[in-house]
Amino acid sequence: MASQPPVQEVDRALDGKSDEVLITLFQNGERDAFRVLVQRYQARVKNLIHSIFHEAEAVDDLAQEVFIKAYEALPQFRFQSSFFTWLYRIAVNKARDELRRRKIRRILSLQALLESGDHELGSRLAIEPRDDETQELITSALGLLPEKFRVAVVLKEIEGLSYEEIAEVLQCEVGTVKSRLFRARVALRNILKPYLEERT
Amino acid sequence: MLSLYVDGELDEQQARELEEYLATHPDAAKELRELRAMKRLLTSKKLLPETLGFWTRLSGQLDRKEREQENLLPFPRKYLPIVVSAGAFALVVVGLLIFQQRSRVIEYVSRQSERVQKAVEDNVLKGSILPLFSNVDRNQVLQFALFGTLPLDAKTETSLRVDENAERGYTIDVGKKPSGEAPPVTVDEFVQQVKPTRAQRKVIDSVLDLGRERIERSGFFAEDRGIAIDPNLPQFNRVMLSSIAASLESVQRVRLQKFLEERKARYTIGQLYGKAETPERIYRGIPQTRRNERFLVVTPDTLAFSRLQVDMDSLQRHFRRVADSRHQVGVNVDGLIRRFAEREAAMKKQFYFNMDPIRVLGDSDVLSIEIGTAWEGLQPVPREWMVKPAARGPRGGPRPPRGPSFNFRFDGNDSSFYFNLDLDSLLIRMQKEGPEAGFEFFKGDPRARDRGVRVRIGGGFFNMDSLARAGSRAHAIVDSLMKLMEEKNRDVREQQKRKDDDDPLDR
Repeated sequence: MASQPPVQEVDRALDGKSDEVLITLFQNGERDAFRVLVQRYQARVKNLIHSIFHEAEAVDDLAQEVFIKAYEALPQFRFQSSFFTWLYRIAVNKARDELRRRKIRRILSLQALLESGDHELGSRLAIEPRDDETQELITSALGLLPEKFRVAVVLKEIEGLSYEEIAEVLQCEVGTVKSRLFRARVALRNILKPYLEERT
Repeated sequence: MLSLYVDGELDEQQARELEEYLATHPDAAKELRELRAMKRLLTSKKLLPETLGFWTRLSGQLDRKEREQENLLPFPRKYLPIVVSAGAFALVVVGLLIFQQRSRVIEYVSRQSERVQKAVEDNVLKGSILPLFSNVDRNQVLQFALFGTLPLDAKTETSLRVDENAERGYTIDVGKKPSGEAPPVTVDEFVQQVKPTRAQRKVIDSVLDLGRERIERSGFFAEDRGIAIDPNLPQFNRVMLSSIAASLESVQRVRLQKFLEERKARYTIGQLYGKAETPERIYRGIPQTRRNERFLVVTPDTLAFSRLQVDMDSLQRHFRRVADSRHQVGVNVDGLIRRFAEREAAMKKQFYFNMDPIRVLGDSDVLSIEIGTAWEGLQPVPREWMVKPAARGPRGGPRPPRGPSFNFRFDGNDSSFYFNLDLDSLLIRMQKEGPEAGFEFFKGDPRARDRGVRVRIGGGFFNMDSLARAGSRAHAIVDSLMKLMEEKNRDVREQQKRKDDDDPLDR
């Protein structure tokens, strides 16, 4: 029996293959194909989770759970959607479940945001922020949005998905995506008003 | 509306109307600027750095999960010792009742069969195995789908060709390219003529990639000592072309039909009209070679249907390191065919037999493996064929008549094979299961039973019971034959080694 080939060598052989090919190979018993899929998507999954669920230290554990779930479900994958929207769906659901489990839903309602805005955050944003502060403020601003608006805006603006792809991930109509994005932007505009006024 | 506009989701007309509105409404224009600034802010969000050891941790968790699932028992773990001992007791009782008389024979047969198997493995499969096909590209996969040909080496002009024929079943030819072989075809030409949509192109690319995977795992050779081929390869080109046709809608299928006709491909579209199949059905219809797959292993002395554990990844790495690898394949295939031809020349008698489940034939240029369509070793194809064989055009012409066939026959049971020690010496047929289970010994060709001399052990036909009745004397004969065979193999190997050492360039 030949000794186990080093990981990098195996990946090189599988690296250039498309998601569909890797999935089919995995469904035929090639576990290394899953390793390549994990390497291909782990950063995007972690960032998606981080954008929805802001605890950086929990992101890695949640991403692991997402891939375990994917590993268990992949034998039944039907190629009806692309792999990444399917994986994002698992990640979004996992992050949402975790949010619910920890009961850290924001008390601020969307209506309250629309009426008042978050003046404290807004005034912080009005000053020219340093780079790390910008990052923190994006995270905080997103954190103020109700979860379903936040997910839509993260998938659109940060992950760069199309309306159709977002609808696939969230399993809703494209019209619903449009409406959530619109409402999310109205809320974000209110939150970030001082920052935006500085720059326009 | 502004939200859709910043996302580029408005059509031309709507966008123009909105721009006209913005020109006269400064508030709306300001809102648009703010939306754009917000978009810029959000897209500047930095990505988290990659975590080291993410896969190692995940892999450990997956292993643990799998072990947990394997350990799931239909009863509480504390009762496990009782269940196990009860089960063992039942097994022993049943075993005593049923296998009292036969266990000795079964054990004996299985021990002997392992020895023969080991002899095959030592002779053929140990040492360096190399893939017949490596670095196959999409153009070559398409070429294979259309014409059933795969290049082995340009310098020696060798190739592998698969064919299906209603009379003969499937054929795999390895050797010199016949004149008038199909000209190369490229994926670009295919795309230009068939004009698949972007989504269809993605499916076709994946089909070709899956085809490449399968092809690269379908054939191996052990230097010039033997060749191992996936017996399902000859129907795989039709699977590929069916999958490509299935990904297309009627309009493109009509174009594909024209493309096939112009290039005199071997297949024609069976269903021109109809909807494209889902990618899932298409991908699932492309069977992949699994680890531990069964291969036809053909050497100048044996034919076996055997499971091969091939570590493809290390094989491919090794192959990448071998300089001028394609040429090495060609030289080895050439050498192998030469050995078959020498064997053939030494075989004076000519026999003709109706289609056996599997036959190996050859001349000085080509080695052919013929597989009957009804042979049970072939995988069933899970989907209806989208393409059917085209009426044969002038290309290639009729196959030249073959010389006498090699004296191997495979009976469709994976533990049955002939082992030819030497041309004029003994042939052994072994079969572990079925009504013909047991050993048979022949002098000469086993298919010419009336001409050859059968060495009998005990009376009547050799099945397990008769072998059992044959008693210890017969077993001693079998044992000595096995020893003889192993010695022969050792001699052949040593001779080969000496030859290789003397003349290292002749490889």
